[in-house]
Amino acid sequence: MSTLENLRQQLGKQKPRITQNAFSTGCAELDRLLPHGGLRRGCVMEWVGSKSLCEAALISLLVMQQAMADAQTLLLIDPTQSLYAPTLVSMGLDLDRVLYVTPRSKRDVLWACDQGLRCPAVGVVFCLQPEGDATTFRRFQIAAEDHGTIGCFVFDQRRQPHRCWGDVRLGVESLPRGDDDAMSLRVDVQRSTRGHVGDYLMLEVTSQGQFHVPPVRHKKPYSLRLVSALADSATRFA
Amino acid sequence: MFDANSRAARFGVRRDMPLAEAHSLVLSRHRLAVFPLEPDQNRRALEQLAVIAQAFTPVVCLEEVEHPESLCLDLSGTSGLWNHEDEQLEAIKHQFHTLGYRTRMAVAHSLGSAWALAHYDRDANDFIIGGRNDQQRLGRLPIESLRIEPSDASLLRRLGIKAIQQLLKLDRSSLKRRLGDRVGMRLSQFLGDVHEQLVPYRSPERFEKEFQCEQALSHQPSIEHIIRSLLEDVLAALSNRQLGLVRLRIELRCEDRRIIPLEIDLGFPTLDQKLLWNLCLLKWEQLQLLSAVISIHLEATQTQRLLQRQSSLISDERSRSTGALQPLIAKLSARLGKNAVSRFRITPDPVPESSVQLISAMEVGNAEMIVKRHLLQRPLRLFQRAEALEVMGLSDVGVPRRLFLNDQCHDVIHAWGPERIESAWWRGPMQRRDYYRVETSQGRRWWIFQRLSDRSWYLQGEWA
Repeated sequence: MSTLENLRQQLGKQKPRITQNAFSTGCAELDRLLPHGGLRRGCVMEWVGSKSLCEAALISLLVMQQAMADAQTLLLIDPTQSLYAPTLVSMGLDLDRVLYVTPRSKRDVLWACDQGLRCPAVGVVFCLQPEGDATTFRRFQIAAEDHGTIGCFVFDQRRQPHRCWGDVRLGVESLPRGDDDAMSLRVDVQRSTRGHVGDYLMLEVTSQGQFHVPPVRHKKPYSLRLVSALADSATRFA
Repeated sequence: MFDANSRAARFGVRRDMPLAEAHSLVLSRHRLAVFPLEPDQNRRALEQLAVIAQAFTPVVCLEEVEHPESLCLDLSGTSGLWNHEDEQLEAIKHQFHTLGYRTRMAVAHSLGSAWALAHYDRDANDFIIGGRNDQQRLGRLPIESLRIEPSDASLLRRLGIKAIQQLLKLDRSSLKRRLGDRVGMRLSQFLGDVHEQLVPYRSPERFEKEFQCEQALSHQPSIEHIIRSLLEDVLAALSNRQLGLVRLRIELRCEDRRIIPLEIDLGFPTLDQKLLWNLCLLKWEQLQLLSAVISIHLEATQTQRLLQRQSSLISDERSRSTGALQPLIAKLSARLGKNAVSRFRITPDPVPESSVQLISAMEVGNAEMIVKRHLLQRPLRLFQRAEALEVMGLSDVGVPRRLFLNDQCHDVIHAWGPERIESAWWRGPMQRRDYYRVETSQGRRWWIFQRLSDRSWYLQGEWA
């Protein structure tokens, strides 16, 4: 056997190495809420919208855009057939790298998710409202870990009582704002494999598709004359 | 008009006539049936006839033009098999008649003269040229029958030269000086002075296998085993030719005379047996076999040369990714259907529901005409059907203060707009709408519009 053949065989025995390093979502404050300090290849995320699918889908798609490596494809599984392509372009997604799948049955939705998570050409599998049992989601988790694909599942609030099979479950709620240039959202950590449960973040999505965390407004500090008031002999305690 | 049948011709409809003129010629109580011209389909039909004509001579070819309409048969050397050329011609004619075709045939000493007679001599149906009178007949043919360019024919007609015999009287060298080589060459081909090489048509090789069952089969694993072995055979044959399979068709003939087809379309050439078998199984799972199978036919209906790539010691990420996506598309399409696996194409249509086309991922399609807007100008979800809204109270700018959707009340606290969108008048019924982006007291953001024709309100999309 030639040396080249030998080397090829040795290389073939090695599984493709999946980068375990976390990378940013594009928002440092959001990174801090995630279990690994950011996104990680092979992770599964659940996003739950409090009023509709849409608020969770909006923020998750903006986050997933960061996860698209060179030449990798975003598999959009949309049984509702309602995602609007011009808005995806506004988010910065390259439509040539988006494969849009519209299964008709719940079973086909789950099957398409499974196939996508196992494909090395797919960077992210984004699915609206997959309805599966615990075994199915466990299978997704293993497929994502084995193949280094990111699973991003978006649900409405009916998902909340169910067990979370992802690394993290984030709740998203849109808030009234009255401004055409940005949307205000509240992101809650509902479940997480590494702490942070109960933490939340107030976030703004600008019309340019960027995240902005508004500064927390504290009340202006002021002095309170407490000791003198207590020392006043006229003060009586009942 | 590309062509008209005899019934249409009775009304005066003829070739190269504008369609509107043809319609005006047909009387009001009749209807002119018009079918779109499909050159590829015509060519395929002619190729099938060429294969049939190979029973009479091994050299059968399609005329060498962009859209061939005639078959050329080289009968030299075959006359010994027939008593006379008449008999041979009659046999060919009979063969085509049984297939439902009417023919115009001519046998001559050159391809040029046979073509001219078959296309331009309307005095008789079929000819065999040989006698002295026949030479005169050839001379009376119009100059267009020489297969010359229309511009050359027009120039000659302006000079008063209408028939071939007039052209033959002219000095060849002066003809060449004025019209170039083309007319002289065609004339020589017509006279047989220059030999025209006929390239015989060869039908593409078919890669197919069939299995006839001795006893009707209803045991599914046995049928699967047969399909798998047939697939192996076809792939081996393709491999020998360095071809990959793009489209596969399996036909199961059942006892009740039904034929159950299974179509697999990959969109790329492959010899990956495992992938193909998985796709077969996906189709097979969706099938309900109501009757036993008596024969199985498997054919590679489309093949393509395999892409050769230089192997590298360590494959790079990009090539691995690209290579792996095609099987995924094939798998998803096999189970969910071609239309369920697609890519977006944005069109310049301003009407939101018509502004995006879904192109099957099997076809190569790129996103085009992208107008990048602000994220919050267009909704993330656009409903396939706009939902009717009940409204209450209008603000100064004409936006409803309260919306009712599915018996739920939503107070509008902010609104932006209007943005007027009108459809193009040439694309059907005119649509005029005023769009608003509204925010409700619950924090929902919707894209609503008012249809200007009846002032009704609809919800078409949402951000949150």
